Amino acid sequence: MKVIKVDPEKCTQCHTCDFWCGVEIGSVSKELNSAILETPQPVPRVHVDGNSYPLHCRHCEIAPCVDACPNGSMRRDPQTGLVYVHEPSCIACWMCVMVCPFGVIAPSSEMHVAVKCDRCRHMEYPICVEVCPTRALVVEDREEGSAWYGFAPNRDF
Amino acid sequence: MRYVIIGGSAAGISAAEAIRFVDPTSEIQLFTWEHTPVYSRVLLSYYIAEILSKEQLHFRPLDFFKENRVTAHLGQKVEKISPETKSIRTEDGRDHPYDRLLIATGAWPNLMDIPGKEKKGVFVVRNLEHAQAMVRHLVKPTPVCILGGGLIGIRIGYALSLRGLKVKLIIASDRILSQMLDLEASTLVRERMQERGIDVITGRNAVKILGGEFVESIVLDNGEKIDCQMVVVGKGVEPNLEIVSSTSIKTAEGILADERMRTNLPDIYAAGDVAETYDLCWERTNVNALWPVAFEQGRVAGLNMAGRETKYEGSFRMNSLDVFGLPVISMGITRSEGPGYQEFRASGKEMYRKIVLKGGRLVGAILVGQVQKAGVLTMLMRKKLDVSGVVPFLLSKRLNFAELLPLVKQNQEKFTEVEYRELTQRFAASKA
Repeated sequence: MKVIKVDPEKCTQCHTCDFWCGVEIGSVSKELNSAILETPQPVPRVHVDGNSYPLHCRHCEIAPCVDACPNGSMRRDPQTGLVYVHEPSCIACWMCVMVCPFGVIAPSSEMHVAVKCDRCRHMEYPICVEVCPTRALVVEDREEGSAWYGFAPNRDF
Repeated sequence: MRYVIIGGSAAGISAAEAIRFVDPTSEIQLFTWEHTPVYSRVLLSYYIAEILSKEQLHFRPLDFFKENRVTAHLGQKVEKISPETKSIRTEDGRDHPYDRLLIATGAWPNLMDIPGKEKKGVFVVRNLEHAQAMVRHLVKPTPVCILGGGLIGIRIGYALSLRGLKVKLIIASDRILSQMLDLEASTLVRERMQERGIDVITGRNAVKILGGEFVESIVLDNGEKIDCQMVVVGKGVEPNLEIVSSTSIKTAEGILADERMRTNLPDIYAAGDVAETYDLCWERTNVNALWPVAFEQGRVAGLNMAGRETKYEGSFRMNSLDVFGLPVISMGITRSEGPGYQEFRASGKEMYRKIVLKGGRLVGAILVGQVQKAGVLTMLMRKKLDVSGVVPFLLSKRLNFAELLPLVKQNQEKFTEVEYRELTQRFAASKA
């Protein structure tokens, strides 16, 4: 599995990653001028909380959020193992928020959905990695021998 | 190898998935007395509120059994377990042999012994049939009395209120959610419910249900009579143990399961709401009848059954609730239970946060209003870290994982999972 890795020594807390994540991934319009005016405000998937460690979903080998989801909305991509929220069926019960060890699932009451990073699984490259001006973020293979486990449906239901 | 699973909810399904993950070919037989497979019990209040349809209650696709090559016996109650012959008997009198057996029979609602409880319009809600029966009864808007201020009572009361029904909660203790919340948090929830038209009566018990064939009113212990056409009993659940009563399987409140989810008898495992396992906060065994706990236990049981040794670290009580847009999360031990405990609080407008420490370890938390990053507290509880140096940070809005990385590094031996390790290592490209 390929995951995003962070070099805190290169991070300058410039917020370019969460800013562009909010625009490109979080917003409806996908366009800066409109995105900043959207209500509800777009929610970035990467969290820069006043320190030099931008934090994303870590796509845990055994993901507590997948266990906790009461209707299978939190699931794994069967090809890549990446954990994502099937947003149409998410019922905003915040069970995943309660168990995420990294605190990177954002409960969006306005959008009535749990918001998290799926490592831009449909894109060639995650937007945060692409825009980082100091290359503090990279996409790398997870160490050899690691696996992933959990609910990975081939289709939506 | 022939695996038999009794129970088709969270623990049973999770165990079937885990067994299939390790063992692609062996036979898996799953028995459940219910007729509807793979639906989520914890979502029944959403069904009652008409937020979700019956079809939307499924937590796995309907062809789950076919996809995972599980032979499902729906509507088949298991009557007897015979450990000496390694077989089970279903109610139709047939015997089914097993090599490894999982008991995941769940729990059943505590029924109240109250005169009039047999009248039409008195409900408990544990399974889909209960919820469907309740919904059928709601042909016209009727005032409802909910007996019990626990999670079930609150959820069902909230659901019926969303459908426009007049709801009264009748609670024996001095506050709602008394097992989960302290007075401050409970008051915030109570105020929100009362603002939206739910009546909350505390410190009262119902003593009688009146009416003819149908419920017409209830009588409280102070003599007060309340007219209602429906009564919902939400007095908690207890493990379904009757299936093991004729065996030598050890039970306390639930079936005692060890750190591999094994019972005291060979090749018999237990998981889910029926199982009693180690509680990380209380540091003794406990039944934590909760969806995420059942799922994790089912997985650990399944992996061990299939020969992949996996340790179950233990659980603690945790609940998440959203009442009229007010999110509430409660975990572990939420009040001082004697010497050695410390409580810390923070509050603001429609916001409350409390953490409970024991010997420097985080053993409980309550979050109301702002629940983002609650999982970081869950992580600290699971990893049993000394958090006495970071208490103000844990209570603040700034709470986040990244700032706890020094604490993670200091306790590396507790963070062996790859997702933690790779946070404290510099990446390959960076070293170059």
